[in-house]
Amino acid sequence: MKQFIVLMAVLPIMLIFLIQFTVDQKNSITVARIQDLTFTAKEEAKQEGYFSPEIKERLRNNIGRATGINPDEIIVESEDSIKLRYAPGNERLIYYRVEVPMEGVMAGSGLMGISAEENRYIYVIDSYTASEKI
Amino acid sequence: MKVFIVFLGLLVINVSYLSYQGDMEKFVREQAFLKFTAEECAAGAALLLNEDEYGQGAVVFDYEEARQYAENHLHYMQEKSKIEGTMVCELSFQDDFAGYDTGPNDIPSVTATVTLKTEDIFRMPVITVTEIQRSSRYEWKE
Repeated sequence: MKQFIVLMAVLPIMLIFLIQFTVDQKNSITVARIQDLTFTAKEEAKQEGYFSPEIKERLRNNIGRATGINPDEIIVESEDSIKLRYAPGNERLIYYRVEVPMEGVMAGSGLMGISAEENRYIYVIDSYTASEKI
Repeated sequence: MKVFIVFLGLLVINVSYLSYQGDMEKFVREQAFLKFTAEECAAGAALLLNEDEYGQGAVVFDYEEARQYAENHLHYMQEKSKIEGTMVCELSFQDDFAGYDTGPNDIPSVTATVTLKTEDIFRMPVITVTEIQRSSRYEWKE
């Protein structure tokens, strides 16, 4: 009986570890997919000279489809003016910022008293690229 | 007592593995970050041509501007990503002035090599990684 009680106490802690391994793996894959898709969108934006509404929409939808995150919660910010390759100085640079909410960072959050609000973070890619549009 | 000792053993193994997994994820993510940074340094630098030379039919990069672009981009990315350590970017050029590697095609190109020197990424004592390096090459086809 004593051993059974100890098992009951230890089992949830051990299970949390097992689930955490999976959660970490999943989050890692999600971040890698976000990086890849943003990189692809950036290459398209280089050719167009800016993040057109179509590119932004496509990026949101692609991330949503690949990761299961609601596209409406994904923010893609960039200037609306077209940048040209031969513009002087920083005028040829396309700045962009992608924000994706990542939920479920910790497994067993309910058991450890971590609220859903605390158990999330925003993954941000903030960068710029040089336009290739002539 | 026996059960408790077994539990402690399992706990230590699990915590160690979790720590390793987290560090490995960070390592992979930083490698991808460096790769994207190197690509942007090479691509942005390769767009900066020496216009006087180009006007005379030669493809020669503007080395000074290109290096300045790479340095600015590196500085911006390090500030935004909050990656700890020292990041440096080295550019090497192949053009009508610097010459070309021996090969069938003379393609002007810029190769960016980004190196990050940091504290040991892995907290476990058996693995030590203090430097990550990634390269990217941008070719300029007319």
